[in-house]
Amino acid sequence: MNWLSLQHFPIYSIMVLFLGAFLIVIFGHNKVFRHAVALLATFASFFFMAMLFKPVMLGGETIAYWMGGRAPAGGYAIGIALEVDALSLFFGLLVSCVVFIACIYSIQYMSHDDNVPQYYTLFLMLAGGVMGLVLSGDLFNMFIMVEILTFAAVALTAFRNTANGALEAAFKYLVVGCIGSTCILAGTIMLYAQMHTLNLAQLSALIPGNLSAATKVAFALLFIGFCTKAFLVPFHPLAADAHGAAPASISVLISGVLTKSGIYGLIRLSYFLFRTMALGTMQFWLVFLGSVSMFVCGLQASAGLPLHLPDRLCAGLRGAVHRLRRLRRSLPRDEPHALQGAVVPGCRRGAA
Amino acid sequence: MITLNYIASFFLIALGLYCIVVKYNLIKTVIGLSIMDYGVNLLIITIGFHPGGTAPIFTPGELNPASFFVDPIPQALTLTSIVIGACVTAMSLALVIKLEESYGTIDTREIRRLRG
Repeated sequence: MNWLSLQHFPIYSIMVLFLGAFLIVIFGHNKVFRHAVALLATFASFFFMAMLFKPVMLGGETIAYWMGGRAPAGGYAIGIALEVDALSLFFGLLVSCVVFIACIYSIQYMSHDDNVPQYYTLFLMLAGGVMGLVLSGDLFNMFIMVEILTFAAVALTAFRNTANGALEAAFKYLVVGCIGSTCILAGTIMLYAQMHTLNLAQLSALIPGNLSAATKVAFALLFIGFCTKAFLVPFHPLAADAHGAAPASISVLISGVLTKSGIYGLIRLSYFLFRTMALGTMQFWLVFLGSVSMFVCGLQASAGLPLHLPDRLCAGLRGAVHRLRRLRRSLPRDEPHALQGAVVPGCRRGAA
Repeated sequence: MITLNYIASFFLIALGLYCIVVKYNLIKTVIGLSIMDYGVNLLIITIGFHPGGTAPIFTPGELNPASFFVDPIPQALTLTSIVIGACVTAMSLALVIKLEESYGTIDTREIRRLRG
């Protein structure tokens, strides 16, 4: 089957997660129902992504789905697009797979907590937000999905609010996350002011010839915003707190999915919108930032651990931080295979 | 192109960031988050303004190539952003309430892990 028959699958993959979240809000007091809905929603999301593997990865197609039945008119992008190319599909498969596995794990892990329906609601909203982010073809849609996933992650970090440091971790995550989101929004709107479009494909066609001071400031703001989501160097302390305070199934998602979505935002920004792959200063800067993050986070994780954290968690945190920074640092080389080399360790990390 | 609006919006963003970073009262931090959001909202609205344009509301017969209206897209973005700002305020205040219940204070110099 060609891609036209599969063109609705991206939106199905996102909506089934949000639909599951809303169903659990209404009917979640029934334990069997909520586990069934959560598992079905996450599996369906993974299934729709897997069905897109053949045309997009092997066939080299790019699926563009225009929401609301709109279509481009006169060479101008009208409406909001979802766009699935190989990078989006890779991240989509990674995210949906990790979310499905985390959902299976959290059935047993959260069985002794209270307020479990709210947990599954937030879990599915978080998953839906990340899927929406990686499949989105519109810059403002990416911002909205980033907000959804930030709030769901903050609420889930504070979920066990009697746990040691959970509330403080959630408050730190909220403040830094909101600063980052505001930067993404400011960058988006400055790009819109210059280019009068929000569609990623159209922006990437318009930006390279039209760099001005405002677009450079927009780039800086967007870069900072996505760095806060990926927990790079000035924004890394909140990751350590969030990992320790969140329930383990959410810690999996924070390290394996949320940070990767921040990296996805950075890849889209640097390489697709602003075409900086060949730019020497940008290459140096990305490598430098990734290396500094790796170094600083590794040192802090090894040296500054409070004594009450269990050893398993310490090792996991160190490993997570190292692998993420290694992914970050291997991004900026401009051969086509380097990007593969960057994201494969991310896949392994997500699966670990 | 209203210069005063742009200056005011960047001033509000900077003021909000200052409040978040410097203030040690949690409520003032939350207020700073909100001020930052309002600054961005003002920026978005000002970007969409065309001098002399009317409101972008038309019945199907009225719209013709000579109609000159302000940009409707930033208005839609601002509405979304206002709602997000309200949710941020609600969620952060809920966290502040729980922090106050468990520590008895909202001073970040006292709350163990919020120093700095």
